[in-house]
Amino acid sequence: MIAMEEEIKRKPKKKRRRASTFGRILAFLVVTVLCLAIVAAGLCAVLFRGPFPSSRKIACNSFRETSAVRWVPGLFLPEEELKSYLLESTEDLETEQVNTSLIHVSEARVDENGVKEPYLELVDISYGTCKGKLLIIRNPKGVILGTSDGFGVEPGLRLTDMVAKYNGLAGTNAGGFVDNNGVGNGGTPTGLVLADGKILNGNEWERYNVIGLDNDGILHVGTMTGREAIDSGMKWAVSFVTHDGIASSLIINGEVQNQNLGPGVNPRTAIGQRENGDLLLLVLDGRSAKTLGATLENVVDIMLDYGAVNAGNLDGGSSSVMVYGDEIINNCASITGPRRIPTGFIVLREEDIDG
Amino acid sequence: MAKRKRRSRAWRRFLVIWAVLLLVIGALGCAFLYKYLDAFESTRPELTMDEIMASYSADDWYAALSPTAGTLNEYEDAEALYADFFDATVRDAELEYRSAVSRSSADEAVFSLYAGITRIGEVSLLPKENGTVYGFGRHEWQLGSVTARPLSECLQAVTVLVDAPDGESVYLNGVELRQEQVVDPAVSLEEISALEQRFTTRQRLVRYSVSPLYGAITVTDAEGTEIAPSGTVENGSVHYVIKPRQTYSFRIEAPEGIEVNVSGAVLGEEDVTGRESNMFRKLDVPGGGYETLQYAADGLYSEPVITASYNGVELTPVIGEDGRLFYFYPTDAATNQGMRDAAEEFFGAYTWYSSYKYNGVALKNLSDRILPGTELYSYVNNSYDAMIWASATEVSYEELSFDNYHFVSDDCFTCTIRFKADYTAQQWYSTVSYAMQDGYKMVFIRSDGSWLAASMSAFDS
Repeated sequence: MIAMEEEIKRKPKKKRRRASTFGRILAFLVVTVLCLAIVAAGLCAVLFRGPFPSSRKIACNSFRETSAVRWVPGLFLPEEELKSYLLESTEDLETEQVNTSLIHVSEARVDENGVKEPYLELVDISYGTCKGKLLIIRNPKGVILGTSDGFGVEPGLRLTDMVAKYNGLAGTNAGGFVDNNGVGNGGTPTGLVLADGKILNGNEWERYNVIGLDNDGILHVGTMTGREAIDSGMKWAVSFVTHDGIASSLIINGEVQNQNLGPGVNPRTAIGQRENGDLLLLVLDGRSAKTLGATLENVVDIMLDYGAVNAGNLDGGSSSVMVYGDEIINNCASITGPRRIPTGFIVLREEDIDG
Repeated sequence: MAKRKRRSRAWRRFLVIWAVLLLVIGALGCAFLYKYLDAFESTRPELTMDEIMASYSADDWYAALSPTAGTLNEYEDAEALYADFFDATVRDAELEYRSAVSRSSADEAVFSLYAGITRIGEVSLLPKENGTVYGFGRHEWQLGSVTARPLSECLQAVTVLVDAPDGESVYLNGVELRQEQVVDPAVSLEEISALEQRFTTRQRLVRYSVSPLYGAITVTDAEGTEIAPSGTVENGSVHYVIKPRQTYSFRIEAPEGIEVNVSGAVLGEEDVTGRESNMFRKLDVPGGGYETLQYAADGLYSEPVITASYNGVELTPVIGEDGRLFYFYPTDAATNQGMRDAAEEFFGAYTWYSSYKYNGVALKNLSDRILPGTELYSYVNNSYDAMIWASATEVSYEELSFDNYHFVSDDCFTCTIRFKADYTAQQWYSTVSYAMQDGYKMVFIRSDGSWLAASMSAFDS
């Protein structure tokens, strides 16, 4: 009898102990999250409300370029001040087109010692906040647009898988894709996708910010309809425009498109072309302890330094990735690893190049 | 119960300490961020660049850039060219800068300087000496150096080609072109006549090539006279052609059927510049007669080598006073003698008639040797009256020659008579003497077994 009574007393005690432990863990998490939120708010307040105009402008643009946290500056800055830091949308304003006669795609070239220049050359980029890789492709016909299958239905491909799919040597991510709050599956591209001369996404009559290559391997950047892209001979093309509607053209016919250069700092992917036809694929790291990222001005600086006559901005941020061989050679900013993407510029093996 | 309360209090204390710890770390983080951003703002190299851009005038930029623009070549004054380039491209342009990533480092910030879309130079910033210490490895900046982009990269280069006659001294911007700059020792002249294009041997030019050149080009001779005012621009080169100063001409007369060859070009119908058959005018010529063909060309750059032949026999020309070449049909000795006798007899009668004043016998002598019914017959007989008035003139014939005998048919031949005549005219108060070099193309027609003169056409010999 006594033992039974003690047993009855012991059971509610166990229950109370379990409930108490759970509550403590919950309280600990709540306190931690609350404190971290306060700390984050404090840091943002220093960044956005402190006496640091340049930093504020850079931070504002950097946040606004992302998918996941572009709403943050709006919490600390009034609408008017926010707008003053941002570029006006240039999505529909561009009229300039690439002058293809400025580009003279050369056949296999030799250097001053008579040695044939290599098909690919990988350059390390390191300056200030700019750290990344530049890939020089000496035969522009060796670059095609790779795509994932089943746009809108299937998820996108990781770039390593996409390069393998086309038996390529290297590649970078290319156009934009639907990525609400930064958690898109990379299966739905935005804007125009042109592959082998056929429209896979978009249509002939809408205007897009296009970056693409024509039959002769000449890079085109600018705003045009799908029909105009096809009529100009373009074979591989994507679209990219920032969340605030800033167009993707960086350099057209040697002239820097200043209206498209925001001061935000982020990982970047870009493509350019020299006068002799060499293509430049650039990926710059960011959002890490090693480097915060690069501005589009930095991208233009690098492109101009390496002789680009035309250049376009591709999807950046956590999507920025470069594959060389069968591995990723930059520091991808995505905390979950390389993202799935719908399109990528793939560098073919030299023996697989048509004509 | 008391034990539970003690545990509860201890837990709450822990949470408070934990929260305070997080907030203190957060506060320290905010302070750290504040300090870092302060250092960042104050040590951006762009701040220093903005100060430089605001303080430098166009002349300051010129003074800073021009000494480093580099040299070009022996033909051009780099300093003058840079000054022109600066005035045209930079002086009134809005300058801006961009960071030059590949040439920058933690201790040197390099910026490319642009005038519009043209890169004109570089500005290098170095850590400021005795500047404020900001920590975080950041420092203020000061101007290190200003370097111009090499002038050869700012200007468009061309290759200059100069075609000139071999041996002629040619100067490019005052510097003589040299043998080692010859890229082709035998360039054909392009703007030549269709006839000269057919010459098998032609005047050739020497082609010089100088590259690269960037500025104005003048092509002169040793005296400084411009000898090629303008060149043809094509494919990145400017091509000057200096044609030979000396040109050549020829005038040739030859009866049809004689093949005239000028420097390997056989003259044909398209080369005939004139025809003459006056000697057969108004004549009923047995065998039909023939035309004398005239050939002429001027402005030839190649000295013509002229030969002529008839049925494979090479002919020797008679050269007139103006250098005109006269070719005649070849004949054999016997034929020549027969025709010569007829012609000499006629001309002997002519000279007798024209040398004597008012001589009816001479007239009949001459008239009997002329074919009746021809213009020549009428002319001679009608001239008798005029001879009365010319009786004060004496004439003597010298340097008489007969050639170019040609049988038009068995009953017709032609020949050419050349002479120099000295005239002495008695006027009222004076005596005037003059000489004439003249010649006649003659046609003789056989009539009743005798050769009679049928036509006599004068020409300047």
